[in-house]
Amino acid sequence: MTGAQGDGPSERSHRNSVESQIRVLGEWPEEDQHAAEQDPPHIVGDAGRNRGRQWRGRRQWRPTTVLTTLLVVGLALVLLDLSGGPTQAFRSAGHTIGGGVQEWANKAVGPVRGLPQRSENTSELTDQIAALQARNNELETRQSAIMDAAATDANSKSMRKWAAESDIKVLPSHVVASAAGIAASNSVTLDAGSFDGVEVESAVVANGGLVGRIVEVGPQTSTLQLMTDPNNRIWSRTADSRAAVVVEGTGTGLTLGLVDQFTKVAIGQKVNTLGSPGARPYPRGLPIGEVTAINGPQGSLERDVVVTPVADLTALDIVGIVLETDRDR
Amino acid sequence: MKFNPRLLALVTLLVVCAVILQTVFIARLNLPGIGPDLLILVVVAVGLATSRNYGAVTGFATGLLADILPPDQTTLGVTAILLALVGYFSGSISDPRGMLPLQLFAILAILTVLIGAASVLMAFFVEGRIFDLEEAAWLVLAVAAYTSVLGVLIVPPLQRWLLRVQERLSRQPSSAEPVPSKFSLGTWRR
Repeated sequence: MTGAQGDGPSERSHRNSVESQIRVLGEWPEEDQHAAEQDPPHIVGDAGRNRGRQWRGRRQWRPTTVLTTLLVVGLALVLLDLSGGPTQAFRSAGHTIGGGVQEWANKAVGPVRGLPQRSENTSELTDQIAALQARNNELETRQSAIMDAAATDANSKSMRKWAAESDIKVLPSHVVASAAGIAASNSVTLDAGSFDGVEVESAVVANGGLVGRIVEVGPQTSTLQLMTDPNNRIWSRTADSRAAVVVEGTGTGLTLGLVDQFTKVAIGQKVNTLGSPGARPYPRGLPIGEVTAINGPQGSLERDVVVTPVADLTALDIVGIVLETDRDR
Repeated sequence: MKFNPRLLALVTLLVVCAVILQTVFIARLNLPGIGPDLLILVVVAVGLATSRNYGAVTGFATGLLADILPPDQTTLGVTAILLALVGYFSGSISDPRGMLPLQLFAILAILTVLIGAASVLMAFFVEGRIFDLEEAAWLVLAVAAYTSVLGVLIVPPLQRWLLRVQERLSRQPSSAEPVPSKFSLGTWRR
């Protein structure tokens, strides 16, 4: 192709051009290195010759050297990061700058992404919806706490008192970015950070159900790990039988890790959080989901119990970060 | 290759846009099977239009950016290593103007499958993340399909654009001899 133009290419360069067109992807170590030092690159045609002349005087990094250097640097970074080295500074910088850029980019891209729905995109309505959803989240969270307390011990007035008095404050926040990639964790960026009072290990709710918890906080943004993340385990209770179970993320959904083989589970059973000390990350009695399928024989620990989350985790937009809960329970 | 500030600026812009769009736009479209991987496409386009060195460094920088950016903060350097390899590989492919769409499709599909598999394995062994292997395999294939279809559409124009920027520089009267107007690509890149 390129050999055809130019004034009479030598046999060698012609052969080279043909060969390299055939062996597009091969590697020629010895010729590669010698040629880089001695010969101009065998590119035929006028432009190629000019290029070769330009290159002769300049110092040329050998591609293999560059690649090796990059790989070594990359490996060093991996090891540094795994050993908990000073790479944390990079990350928080990434969170501060990257989160800000994402927040801004989300505003720019949001209308484009929302085009299929073609809903009223006026900011006023969006704000109203945000406020209402936040209020709704707050009320549902409070209500579930009350219901849970009532179910726990109808006699215990203190418990009910707690639920009524428990001052769960919820901060509305937008999802601005999601993790992308096959091996990515199930996490999203929220547009509220430490300036808004968000702390690490806060629970996040949406549409009356648990969504996940905050795992990292920047000044303006924070990272929410969804409860479907494979590394996530939540101690919980079935709503009516009060059996303790563990909700585990599978990457795309939730399963129930049974504490013992006699744990009674049934389709339709609701699962709530058991609660953590100091209500961090999870306050008690937040709805997680509902048992929708049970695979496997009764009485075995191998039963695969599928839990469908109350909140729709695939279409998160506005979520509520639980800021304050009763700590002196 | 001569230092070309315009090319560098253009590549930086492309990389930043791709990384941001990937998290803000593609990942939130909720397509079945995640969606296309813009990072691979940009790195391949840059590699095809420039050299092995340029491709490898671009890939490394892109991967590092993707590693640092929230919300998914993978182990620093993992994506950088993988994309540096992609850049080096695509930089060593010669005569991109003669590439058929089918060739490009095949190269992109193979690259994406390899990178997807490698990133799953890395996440499994390095970070100890748990995967449903069958599900992960389907995801890898879905992402490869999205990426190669989109790539056939956007890689050639990107590449032509990058080449034009390079060509413009080589036309400038900086060298003593007249520079031919036609920018011809080499066969094997040095």
